[in-house]
Amino acid sequence: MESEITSNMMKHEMTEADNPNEDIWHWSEGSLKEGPYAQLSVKVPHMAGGKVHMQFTCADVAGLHEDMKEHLGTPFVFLGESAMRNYGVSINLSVKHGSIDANNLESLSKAIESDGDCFVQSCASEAEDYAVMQFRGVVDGEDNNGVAVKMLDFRIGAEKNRMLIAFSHVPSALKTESMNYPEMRGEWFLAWLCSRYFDTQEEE
Amino acid sequence: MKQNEIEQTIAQIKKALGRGDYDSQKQKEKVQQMIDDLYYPATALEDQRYTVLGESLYVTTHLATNSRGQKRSTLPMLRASKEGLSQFMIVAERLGILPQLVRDDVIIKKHFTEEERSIVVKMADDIDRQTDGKKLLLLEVLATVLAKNMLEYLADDGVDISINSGIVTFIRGHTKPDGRMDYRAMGQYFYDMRKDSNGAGTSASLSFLTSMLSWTVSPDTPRKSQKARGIQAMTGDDYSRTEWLWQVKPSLFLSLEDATEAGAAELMASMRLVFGKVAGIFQTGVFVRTCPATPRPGALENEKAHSPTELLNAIRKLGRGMLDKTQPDYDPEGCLCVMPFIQPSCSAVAVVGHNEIVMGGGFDDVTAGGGSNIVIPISDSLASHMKNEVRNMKLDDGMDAHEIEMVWYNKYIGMTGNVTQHVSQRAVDTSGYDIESTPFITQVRGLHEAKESLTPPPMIDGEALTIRGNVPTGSIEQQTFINVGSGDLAECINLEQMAQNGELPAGLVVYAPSGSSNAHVAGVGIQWEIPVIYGIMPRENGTIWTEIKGWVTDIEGAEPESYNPSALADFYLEGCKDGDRFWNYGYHVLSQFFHTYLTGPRNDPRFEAYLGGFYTTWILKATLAVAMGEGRHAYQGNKAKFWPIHGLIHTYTAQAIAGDTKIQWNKRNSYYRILKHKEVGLHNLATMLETYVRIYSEPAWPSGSYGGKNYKESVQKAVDVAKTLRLVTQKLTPEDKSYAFKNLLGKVNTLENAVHNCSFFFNKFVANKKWFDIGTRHHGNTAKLEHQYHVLAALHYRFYRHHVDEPHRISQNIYKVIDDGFSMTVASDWTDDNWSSLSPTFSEQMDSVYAHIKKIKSEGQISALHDKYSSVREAVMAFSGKHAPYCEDCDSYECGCYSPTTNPLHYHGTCGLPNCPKSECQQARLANNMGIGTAQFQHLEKMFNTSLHVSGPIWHEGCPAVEDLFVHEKMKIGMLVTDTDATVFTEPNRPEVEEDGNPYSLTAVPVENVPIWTKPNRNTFQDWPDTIVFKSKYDTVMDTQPAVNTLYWLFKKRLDELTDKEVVRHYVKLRLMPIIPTNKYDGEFLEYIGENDLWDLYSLCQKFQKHIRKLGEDLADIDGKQVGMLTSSQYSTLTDWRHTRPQEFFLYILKSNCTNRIGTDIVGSLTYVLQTLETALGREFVEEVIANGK
Repeated sequence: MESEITSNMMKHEMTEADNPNEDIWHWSEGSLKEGPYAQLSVKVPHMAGGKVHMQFTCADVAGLHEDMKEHLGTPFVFLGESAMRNYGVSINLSVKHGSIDANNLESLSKAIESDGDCFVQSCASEAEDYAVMQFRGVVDGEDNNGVAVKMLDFRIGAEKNRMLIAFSHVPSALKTESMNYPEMRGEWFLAWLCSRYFDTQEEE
Repeated sequence: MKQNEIEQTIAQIKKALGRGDYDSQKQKEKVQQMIDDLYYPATALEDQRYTVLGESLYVTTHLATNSRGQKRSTLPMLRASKEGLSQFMIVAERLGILPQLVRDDVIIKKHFTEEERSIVVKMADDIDRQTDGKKLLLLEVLATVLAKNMLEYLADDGVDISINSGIVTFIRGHTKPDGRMDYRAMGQYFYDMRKDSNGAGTSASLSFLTSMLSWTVSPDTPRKSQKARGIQAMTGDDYSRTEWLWQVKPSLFLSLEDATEAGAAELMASMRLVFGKVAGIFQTGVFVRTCPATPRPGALENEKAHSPTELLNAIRKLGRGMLDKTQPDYDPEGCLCVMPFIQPSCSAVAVVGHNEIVMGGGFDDVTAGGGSNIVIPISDSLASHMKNEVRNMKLDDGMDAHEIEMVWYNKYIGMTGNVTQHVSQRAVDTSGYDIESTPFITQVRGLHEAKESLTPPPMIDGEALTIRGNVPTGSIEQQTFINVGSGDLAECINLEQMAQNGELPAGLVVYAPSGSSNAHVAGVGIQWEIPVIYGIMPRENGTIWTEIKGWVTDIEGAEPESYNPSALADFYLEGCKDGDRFWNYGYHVLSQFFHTYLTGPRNDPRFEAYLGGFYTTWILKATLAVAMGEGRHAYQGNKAKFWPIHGLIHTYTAQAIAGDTKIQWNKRNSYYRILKHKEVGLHNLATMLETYVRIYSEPAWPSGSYGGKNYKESVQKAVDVAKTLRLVTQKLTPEDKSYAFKNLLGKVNTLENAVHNCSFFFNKFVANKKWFDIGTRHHGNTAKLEHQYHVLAALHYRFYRHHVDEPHRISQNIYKVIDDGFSMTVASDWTDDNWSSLSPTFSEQMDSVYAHIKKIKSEGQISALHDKYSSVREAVMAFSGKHAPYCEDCDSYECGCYSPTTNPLHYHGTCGLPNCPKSECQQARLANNMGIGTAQFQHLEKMFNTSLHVSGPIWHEGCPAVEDLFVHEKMKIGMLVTDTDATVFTEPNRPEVEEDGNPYSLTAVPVENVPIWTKPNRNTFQDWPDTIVFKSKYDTVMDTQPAVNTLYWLFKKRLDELTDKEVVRHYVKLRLMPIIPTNKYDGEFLEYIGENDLWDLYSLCQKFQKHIRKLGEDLADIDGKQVGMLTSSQYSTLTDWRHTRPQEFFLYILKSNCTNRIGTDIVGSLTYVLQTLETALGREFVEEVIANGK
């Protein structure tokens, strides 16, 4: 059954790389570091600058990477590099510096910081300034152009700390002449992840 | 049919019908034939009338369209004839529809005045009631009135005249099976639509007045003039054009009769039909081109017009000139062609079938020999496409060979500077510049004699020939010469006339110093077998010129050898030097000329050698740029993980290049920018690249496109190029040099291939890797020629102005500019103040430093290098982002007492540098300097690390005025923008903006039951100051600085009772104690407080915490939103104190007090803090602190 996320995501068409390179999918033996369960976290201090840096880990990182290879055909994210990490994947989103949304994110980061319980350690370092993002579902919203969009609804720490990521209007990937591999849009990739790991639907 | 025959036929029909066997097919056909015969005259007349109607109304439109139903791009003159209108009106009157036509005509309704319309309608009605004789007379009068008015309207730009696509479709729907048009059916349709009403369908928009318009010749008739026929054919009206090759501008052709007789109305109607609204094209200008009946290099002038009057004058002048037997331009069979003037960016000539295109500035620098002509090789495929295209034009001009002329539209009209300066600067200085453009074809010219393809220069006595020329007899001794300058039209007239009159002197040699073999003079030379020498000033008579494949030499009996690029090594090395000095992003476009220089140049081989050298240094520095840019990831371990030596290689190399320029170490572009306009030197470049290989071979890089193995391979190949290049610069035997050059070609090819395949190594500043395909396979289309030409033309200027003194080869179009004191010119881009050398500090030590670096293994320390070389210290200091302060104790800037860095330059290992913030490195340094062991180091470090929630010192001036604080917040609100691309939000819907006046509010929150209370005899009963709250739509900020100041001053007043050492001692002791939870009253910390009589201060901190929490809670209750509490004097830093515990406040204030006593921050790297304490409180005290850490 199609989930609410997948039914609202734009379709993804696999595009071949100009010069396919198997090396990009390769991790040396024993380098993968699996988490106990699927968890999405965000680096809170970076939010103050309008940047949303997320880490995702799960119990089968190799499986996640294989799925990406099979279903997405690229590990690269637009305006970034490979999303694959030894602990899972990393996704970066951002809003314009000095924008209203950047300011709102800054306020949100302060609110999260005042709630020490939601912090977890980074999957990649000793830093302890990441907060868990709890997925609550898909909600209707509108973007800054007044266009109706579907958003992924997250809570971070307290219930009032809400982060929403619009995804329904975002194409899956881009491929320009200068790109070897197509590059996924972060919002779409995040929706893909949530649909697979968080969007559990009970059968009626 | 006579009357008796008619009666006989009627009787036969009756008889046949009476017999009743008319059911038989045969009888039925017979009866029908008899009826047809009977009515034939009337039917025939009807056919004829409908045909006249159809043809009068539709033939002009039909002829204006091509076989695909599109309007033809080239059309002849539209002429107006009253007779045509009269003929139509007579037929309409006979068919009985004239009054309706006049009453409902679309033009009459729209453009005639009410009075004019009522007159012509009345006249049409009257005609209907007149006898035949009078009818004709009145029809003539009405036609005259209508034609006169129509002509007036045609002259008016406001009257729409166009080829109506609906009517075109209608006409094409009436094509008979044999391909002819069914004008009878079209005429009948028009009649049927108009006989009872005001028209419907396609007829409604068709004015019968258009029946007076016709073409002077059928638009598809081939023109007699070869030039005109070329322009007509190239439009693609009669074949399916390959649109990506070039664009075509529409054109209007005028016979000389049209030119001298046509009225303004006809001319403007024709212009509007061909070009649409003409106001716009007159602004740019229209070009009236003369087209001679027979092809020749030509002496006929062209005219430019900016208004209808100027246009009319121009066509009259040129038309009359060509019809005047006494004038040199006499050419009665010729014609004129009007085209929109294309403001040129540059232009080109291509000999059809040849694998090269000659480009020049302006619109005629190639044909008129204006200089700055550059031959650009094109691919076999493009040459073949051009050839096929010309074949498809079916010129049928009796010529086997043709040339194409093209011009690129100047998109930069209105910019300052000239177009070459503008485009070349943007192209090289803009990362990822890749603007494509398609030229306009302006002419297809037949050649009397086929031109030979350009060949590489032969070698004579080990030297490459550099002068192009043609000597039809193979060799000639010059007895006299003519200098035709650029060799353009005007300058060739005398030469042509001399040739025509058989007056060419013996031993004549013609010189075209700024021309090329594509200038007009070349055609004259070929036609009349005159020797022409290009690109040099005239030589003395007596010179013997010999031609070898399009190149000439004055060496007698020259025996050509095959081309050898090493003979031009000096020019190549000049190019290498300039490529270094003027390095910028966009010189990848020279790849093609590196290859042609090595394999066989078509241009002056000296210039191509220069371009080849320029490109070689470009690719070397580009490789270094990308390698450095990617290396930025590794010093903090983001991708690879540097050991100290790698950090130093990265830092030292970048800083050596940057000199005084500040590097943003984490920004990729910063590494690229430092290479711009900086002469690194071939030797240094080779060393840097060689050293940089270690960055990609020793630390482990993750697999993927960036860094690691692929990068190592690319950098290694650049090292190979640099080393081979270094070899070429040395004194070698000719054989060795020749071998080295061949080797160099191979190595640059290999490097190009590596960077091309490495997920396109240069994609950070080269937008399109096709340029490297062009380098080896040449241009496959015309899209990138304009971009490349302007970059080349700017370099052409540099070469012929600065390296060889031959300015006559340079076109004014390349450097001329309005002298307004501001406009830039190509000349200003090449002055010596546009580049600089490496800083002497680095250049003098670089060899020794790199040699030393080479000896240090991957895991080795770099402190010895740091201590020995000032340039290494400078690089490390620059990386730290802070410069050394002057140290009074050491009386120098180099004692190592400088501020701590925020970033270590390595991830693994210990570097031994004095300022490295990595604790392992500090430990190593301190162990060396102060004898502190590992355990002690960790203990001491904890005292001074930054994990405490403490920011910078509180300045005793306190916070500036509150108003200033909120001005900052107000500005921030005003500066907030809406990100229309945002996808991350905190609410699903956008809140409405409140329109209640100010977008913010200012309130003061008074003290609420938390007065200051301290110990008896020491306390001060006073309230905390009011707190100002700034609340806006997006933020709420509470200024607690006054309360913090109060806390600080109370502390200070109390701590003033103690000495500096006592206060610092308290700090270092208390700093190590665990933080106690709020409202707990036991533990080491409180014990110390009690023992040392500091309880009153701790109590003060408890009150302060209460005060802050109360404020925060109240505010949260008010607006349900978290509140940023601004306490620091740095406005950009908001600190929320609500969860800070009293012990932390205590330490914070105590630390601030220490800092203000010592003069600098007491928090930081251990080395730095201990040095600071030593300076402030003496060595003995530091030893006490160290002992405390044991």
